[in-house]
Amino acid sequence: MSLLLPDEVIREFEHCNKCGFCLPACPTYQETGLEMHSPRGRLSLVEAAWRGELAPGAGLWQALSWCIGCRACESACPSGVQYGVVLTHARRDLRRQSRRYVIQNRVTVPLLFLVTRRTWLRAALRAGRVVRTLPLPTGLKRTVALLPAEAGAAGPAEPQAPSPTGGVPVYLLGTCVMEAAYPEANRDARWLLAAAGARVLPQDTLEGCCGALHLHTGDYEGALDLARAAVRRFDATLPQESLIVTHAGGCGAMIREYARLLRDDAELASRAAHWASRVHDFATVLTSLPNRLRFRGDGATVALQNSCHLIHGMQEGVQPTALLSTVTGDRFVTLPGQDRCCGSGGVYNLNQPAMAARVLKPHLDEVRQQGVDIWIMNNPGCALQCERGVREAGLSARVMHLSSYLRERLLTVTE
Amino acid sequence: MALHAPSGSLYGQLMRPGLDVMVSPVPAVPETTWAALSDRLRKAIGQERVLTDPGSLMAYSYDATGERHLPQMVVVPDAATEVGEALSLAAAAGVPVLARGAGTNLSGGTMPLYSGMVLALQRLQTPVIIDRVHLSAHVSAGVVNAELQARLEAEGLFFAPDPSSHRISTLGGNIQENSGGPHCVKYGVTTSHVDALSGFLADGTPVRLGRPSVPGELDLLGLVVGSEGTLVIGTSAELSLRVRPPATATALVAFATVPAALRAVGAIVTARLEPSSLELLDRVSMELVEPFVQAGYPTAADAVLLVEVEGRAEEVPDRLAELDRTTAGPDRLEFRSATSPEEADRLWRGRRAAYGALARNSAHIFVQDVTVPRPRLAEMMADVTDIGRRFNLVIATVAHAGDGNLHPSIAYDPANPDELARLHAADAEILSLAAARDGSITGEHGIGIDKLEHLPLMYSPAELSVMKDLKRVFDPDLRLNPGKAIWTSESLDGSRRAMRSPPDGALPLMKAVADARAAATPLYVRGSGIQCPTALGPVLRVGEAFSGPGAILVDAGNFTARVGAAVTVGELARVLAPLGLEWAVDALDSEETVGGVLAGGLPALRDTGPGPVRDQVLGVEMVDGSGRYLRFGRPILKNVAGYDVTKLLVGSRGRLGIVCRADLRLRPQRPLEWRSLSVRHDHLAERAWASLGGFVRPAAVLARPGQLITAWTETPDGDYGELIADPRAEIGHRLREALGRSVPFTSLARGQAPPTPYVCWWPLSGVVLGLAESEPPTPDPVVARLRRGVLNVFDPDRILSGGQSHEPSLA
Repeated sequence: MSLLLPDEVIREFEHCNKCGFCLPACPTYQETGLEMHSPRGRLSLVEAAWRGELAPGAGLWQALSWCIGCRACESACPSGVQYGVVLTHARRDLRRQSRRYVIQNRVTVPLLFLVTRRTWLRAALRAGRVVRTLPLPTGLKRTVALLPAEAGAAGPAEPQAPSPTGGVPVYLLGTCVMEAAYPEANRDARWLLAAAGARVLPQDTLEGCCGALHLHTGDYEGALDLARAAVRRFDATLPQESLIVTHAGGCGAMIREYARLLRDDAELASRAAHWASRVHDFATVLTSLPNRLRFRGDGATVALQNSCHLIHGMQEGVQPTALLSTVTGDRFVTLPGQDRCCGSGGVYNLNQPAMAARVLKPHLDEVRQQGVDIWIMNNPGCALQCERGVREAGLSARVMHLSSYLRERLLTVTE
Repeated sequence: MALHAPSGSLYGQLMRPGLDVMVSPVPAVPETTWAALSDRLRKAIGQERVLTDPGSLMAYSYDATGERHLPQMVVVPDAATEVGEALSLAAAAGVPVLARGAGTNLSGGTMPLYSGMVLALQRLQTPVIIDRVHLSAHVSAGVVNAELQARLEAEGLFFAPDPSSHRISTLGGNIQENSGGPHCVKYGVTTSHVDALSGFLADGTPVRLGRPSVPGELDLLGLVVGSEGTLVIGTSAELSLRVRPPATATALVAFATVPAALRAVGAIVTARLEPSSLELLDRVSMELVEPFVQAGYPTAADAVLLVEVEGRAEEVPDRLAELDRTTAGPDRLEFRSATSPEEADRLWRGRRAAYGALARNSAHIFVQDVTVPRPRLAEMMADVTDIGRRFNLVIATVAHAGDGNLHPSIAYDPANPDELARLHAADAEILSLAAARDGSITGEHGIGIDKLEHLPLMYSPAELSVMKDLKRVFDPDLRLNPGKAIWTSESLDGSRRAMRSPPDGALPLMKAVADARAAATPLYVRGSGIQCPTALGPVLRVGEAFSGPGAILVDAGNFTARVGAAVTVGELARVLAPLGLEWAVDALDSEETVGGVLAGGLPALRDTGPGPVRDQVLGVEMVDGSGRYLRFGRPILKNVAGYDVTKLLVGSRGRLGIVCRADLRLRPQRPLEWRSLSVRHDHLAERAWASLGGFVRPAAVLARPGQLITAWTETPDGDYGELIADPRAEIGHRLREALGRSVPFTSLARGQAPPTPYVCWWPLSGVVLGLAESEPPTPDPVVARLRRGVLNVFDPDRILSGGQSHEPSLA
């Protein structure tokens, strides 16, 4: 039995000559030093399984499930191999072949269900926070430790900044995990966008899941269903010319992928391509709006944990750093690991907690060495992962979303 | 005997029909042996680091060449001792072993062609130790080149070899391959920057090879560097470092045609601009890398040169301006200097990513690596273009133009037999043309497996046989990396096509050796007799054919000279001076012969600048102790075809063979005189450096207990001592420690002979404190055994060694 893969995946193998440029970019290769856990190694295993030279069994499964899916290898690849596509389809076919090859366990299965049910997710997180205080078996304790420290602080409810009527309408995608775990970050993002002069569209309370986590875990069909639903919902609720703003790199990169995922969908292909081209990151949009925002800090040392999918999926990883360096008063330091994966990887840290912790470790060391006071995030998964790391390592750094940090530092708005 | 066939059949494997002619049979290992071996290894170094699952084996089936062959087992040691254990157990089981680092090899050298055990060494990563005083670093084999560079950058230092794979490839791999890189044009290849290598022989015996510590010791280190993992498995090394130049600048120069770009290369070299990098990309390569780096390579150009110049901050703009003037011409489309480090970085990243970017065309690339003497680069490149056209193949070419090293790369489809046939024909033709131009079939990628069949283009059966015998000295069972780098088959009949007749002048030498062997009388070879005034038997002089100015053939555009061994250093200097060139080797006396200086290989005062004698000799022609005429090396800076036997000859004191002719590396004469000066040690730190202009570090500092300390220097050649503040104080400190406070210092006038016996003072790389050794170090018995073995290869009857079988003493 061999792996069944579509032509678009096979084309990617045909553009890898194993030059090895991906090795230094790969977090699991850096940790293990094992070729099997490098992008080049995984590609060669998938190719061998496709050619029938390697049984698509446990070895391939281990290689693919240890991959965080950060896609840093794509940016490092001189010939532009789209590794993420290979990963997605290889996981999809393994899952098709055997139930053993499903990246879902007793934690992630309910989570993947919950992200499609916003209010339930919110409730579950709230319950989890209570549960954390109870004595629990170790495995479960690791999981609930991921929950954020406290419920989102009660900030100003909705935009109070002047909401102009002109300009491009902007819709801030709440995204499931962000809305449930860090609602204040969404509020702050909308507030700042409005302050910067955007016409911020009202929140769609029925906004669905983008499907990123499902795609990650090999549930390709499930992800496609969610993508279709999302495209229809955008069409139904947003003006055509709207920009969709995310500050969850994973979700933004997923919507970018819609163009490819729904390419063969007779009904939705062009709509998917349209919305894929309209999605941008919060930092990108904020800096392109008419009003000039000035930020002043209070002398804190600030660092960023940049979202991998924002960098490698959306190619908008530079804008957050540019934005942060405009904050006067605070000291923005570029950590060596700023643009390297923190080990969150969607639900990766739930499935592979040990490797996720190893990947996070050097980041925590850097935060300690540089005396970081505020550690900025632009993806909720990373925030959960880093917040837990900071807590467990006993660091004093405060983990904050970019939007919340900026709102706290906002000094003036110049029209 | 059951034989091991090249492993399995995975898609894309190339047919290698002549393998059995070239490679000694590799015995098959029964499954039960493997099972027992893996049990023992798992007990010895841990369950999870002995991999036999199909997925892991697949992941170590390839290197950057892309072809795949499955190993039987992968061992991932975390420490050097585990490498030794794995090798001992592998030896007991009789299995082939292939050591590899990051697997970026481009000649199939780290692909387990004969299956066996793969030793994956990239986890050997003990912390790098940097010695700022001696400018050296102690590194483990698994450290990535760029990681070392990053550590060094913070110290104001750098390690000169920087292959395009430097972000990925390990230093262990760089050493085994004798890697090149853009900066080699100025600083030389890896072998010039390795001071010692520690590791294991095939049977697990630990071994440490250093630079010879006593004149006359054979330079085994020079042989092992570049041996492609077929002699010694290295686990750590001492590397010599350099001080970073205060400023560098990168220029992109675009040309309408490739020949125009190559003419500019010639002009840059002739103008003595000595760039620190001089690289070429052709149009196809630029088009492939541009989408990746977005460096803005000019689309209208057929070729661009990337040139890096360095110097003091105030000099760099002048050098750029000079570069601009020198390259100007009707076919030049653009001259652009990078305005920011980021822009320079993008330009260089494009060059470095050229191989990877070729995969935009195909996953299967046949990349070549020919080197020719630089003045012949243009004709070679024209031939490559012509061959591509004739065989209907798309060839993309990048080149280390400054050192004549060309990488024509051909994309192919392994499933297309017709295309494969054309590929092979084109490959063979390109390689023969390079060899015919006195070049090499591989400059830096290694012979690996891809070029094995073409070794006879460069070497005669006798020369191949020397390499095979050298291999057996280190690895008698031929288990290390079988099928790579050299021919190991019993009979080398398959290589007859390279039969070459010796030059006339060598015939009497061959006869003399043959007669001496027949009579069992030792033979004493004499040059000027200055270094070795006494002889205990019949004296043989290298004949007329190899003496006098007529025996000097200078290739001024290539900075090389082919020189008869009996030519005196003075004669050579007189021929070179009008050309503005010099052979950067200090002789004791201008009447010494080139052969004598080479055979003596003595440390010289300027070793720390241009490098020791071994770095100034590119090739030798010789008659060995068995009476065979042999030629190793070529008049090119980059050549990794087969073993670097030339290194063994330098400093061998004539015991391996009688050198008839040598290819010497030249350099532009330094415009200023070199000075010697000495100072009271108390003020060495301030006064010495101040008087040296603070810019040039001393070429050597010699000290003799109780008497003298002298610092020699020469004019700027890229040594930027001023950047390192600490070592100055450190030198003073060390001197005080070594010599005591009351030591007086005197100065030497220019031209005055250094204090005897200065030859005992062995300048190390970097800023040197050389103290006379009171006792020669006792040689390590393993190293002594290896040296005896090497001697046996060339002179089994000790005809040229005065009947001695032991290491020479200091006399």
